[in-house]
Amino acid sequence: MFKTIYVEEAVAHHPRTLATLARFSDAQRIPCKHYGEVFNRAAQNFRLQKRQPSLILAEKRGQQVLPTPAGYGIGSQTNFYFSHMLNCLYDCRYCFLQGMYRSAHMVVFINYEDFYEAIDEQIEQTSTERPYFFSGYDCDSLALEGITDFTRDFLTFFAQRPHATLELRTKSVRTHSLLERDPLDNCVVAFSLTPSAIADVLEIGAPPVARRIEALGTLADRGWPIGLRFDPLLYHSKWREHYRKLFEAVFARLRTDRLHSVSLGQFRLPQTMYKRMQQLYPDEPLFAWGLAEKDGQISYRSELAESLHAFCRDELLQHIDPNIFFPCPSTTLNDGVAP
Amino acid sequence: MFYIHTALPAEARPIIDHYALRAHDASAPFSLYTGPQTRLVVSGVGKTATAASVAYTCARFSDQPGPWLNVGIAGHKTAALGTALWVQKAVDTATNTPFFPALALSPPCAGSVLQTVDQPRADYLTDALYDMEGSAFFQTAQRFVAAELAHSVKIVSDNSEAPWQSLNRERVQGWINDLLPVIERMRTELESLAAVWLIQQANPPHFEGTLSQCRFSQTQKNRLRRLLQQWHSVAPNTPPWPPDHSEKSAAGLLDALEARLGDPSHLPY
Ligand code: SF4
Repeated sequence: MFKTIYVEEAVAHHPRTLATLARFSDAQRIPCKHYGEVFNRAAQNFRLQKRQPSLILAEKRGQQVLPTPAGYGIGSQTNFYFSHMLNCLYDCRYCFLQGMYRSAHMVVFINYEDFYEAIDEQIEQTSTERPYFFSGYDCDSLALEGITDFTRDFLTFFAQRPHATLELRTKSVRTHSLLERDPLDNCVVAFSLTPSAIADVLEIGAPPVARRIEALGTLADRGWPIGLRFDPLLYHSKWREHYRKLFEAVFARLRTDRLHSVSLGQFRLPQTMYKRMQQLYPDEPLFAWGLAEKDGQISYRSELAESLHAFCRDELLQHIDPNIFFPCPSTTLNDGVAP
Repeated sequence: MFYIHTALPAEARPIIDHYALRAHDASAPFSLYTGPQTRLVVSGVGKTATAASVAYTCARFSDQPGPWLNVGIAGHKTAALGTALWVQKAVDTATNTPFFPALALSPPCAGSVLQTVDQPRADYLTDALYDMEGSAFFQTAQRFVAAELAHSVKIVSDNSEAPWQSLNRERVQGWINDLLPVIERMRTELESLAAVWLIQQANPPHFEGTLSQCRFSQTQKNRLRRLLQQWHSVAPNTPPWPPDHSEKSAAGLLDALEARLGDPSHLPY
């Protein structure tokens, strides 16, 4: 899988580094002082690197846990995110990571204990409300589980902190680390879903949607709280029919008593990221059709965004309790926040 | 077009023969050889000559950009003579600056860090490759092509038991001959990557023709390029403006094209 692994000198002897290197004993190892030497250099081409990404083992310095942007959340006012990884095994064409980072190499920060400490600090400072911690902002939480043991380790940590909630955001069906342990009420396994017709084309390398639905159904059967993330909503031919069928397929399989939250998200990108992505894929119609700029964000023209959002909201509300429905903020919809 | 840089004529000779390259221009400041799909420049020894030769070749053939490969002999403390090594990282020892080739391919052979030194030396301080060009090659080539398209492969010509003073032209040529399969493999992979890079660099259809119709500012040219790329991605077989359009100004053409990019008849997927 990985033919080359860059290793920060400071973590060269860390047990997680040694364990990872042992898994890839054939990979070439390249020392570096700081992962940024490799990851942040100019003149790199994300699209080219995505063909054969390397792994970078590094230490996360500075702030490990950050507040989410205002308006994002699934029921709490106190929301944080953290990234034990940068970049993803999959290659969704709409993914903002390709506009955010210069490199497609996958960085794994192996100093989990520092993340634990930072999470504990935030929990201590949060007296009134249940804090939520989102993983999977800069990566897929589960896709690289076989290498990182991220969920195995972080679930053990969160099991001892029942007053804080962890969200794992994923398209992966690598759920064995969850299935082999008792469910945690304070861990939401949130699956991103798109109609198959469009996922097959744009979510390159991700498991087919039917397998994701099966995986989330199985997890719910075992008692895990499930999140559904229809994000981004994508305008395409027959989109009404495709979204309706997707919702039907999900709710035919899912035990809704384990459904924690459902959110919708607009296809939206900061203009600078969008420009980079369009330059990487000048041949990609997703970055061409029906878009408009508003307040520095690129998204679908408001009439398209509104019809997509309204249709999906109305369809979903036939299946779910409105109290667990969380549309994301948008600059496209007329009032700035999705109704 | 695939570009190869060597420092020495003896390093170049087997490559020239393999690709049937011919001398290109006797008046050029560096020895240049060319074939239908390959060009080679021989710089002479050292960082300055390397940087100048790569920059010269890139500028001279700017209409045919392509990937670059540095090929040459190098010392190594412990590796056996004749060992082929792909350069994982080149360090300019004068400034201690590292240059990483950006990887988007499988390494073609075993790899090593390369130390680029200003003077030949026989002390081989670390277990790495030693040459006098590598860091300058990366520093320069990465200014002209994506960092994934500039690589270096070396063959070990001297080590702590067989010093560089005993090198001769025949041995160098023999080693480079042995390196040809690795060069060929790099070439195949780099050309495949370059094909994608060239799509990113290319002007879209109708770009030059539209520029000749009326005056565009630089900002408008950039917008035109992007809009035509977008148009081509959603409607590759349809002209960007209807045949009877009446737009005369650059701004009018751009606005009309932008409006057409939401036309339901061109909805992708
Ligand atoms: S799964 Fe998520 S993080 Fe991974 S490429 Fe797709 S959108 Fe990006």
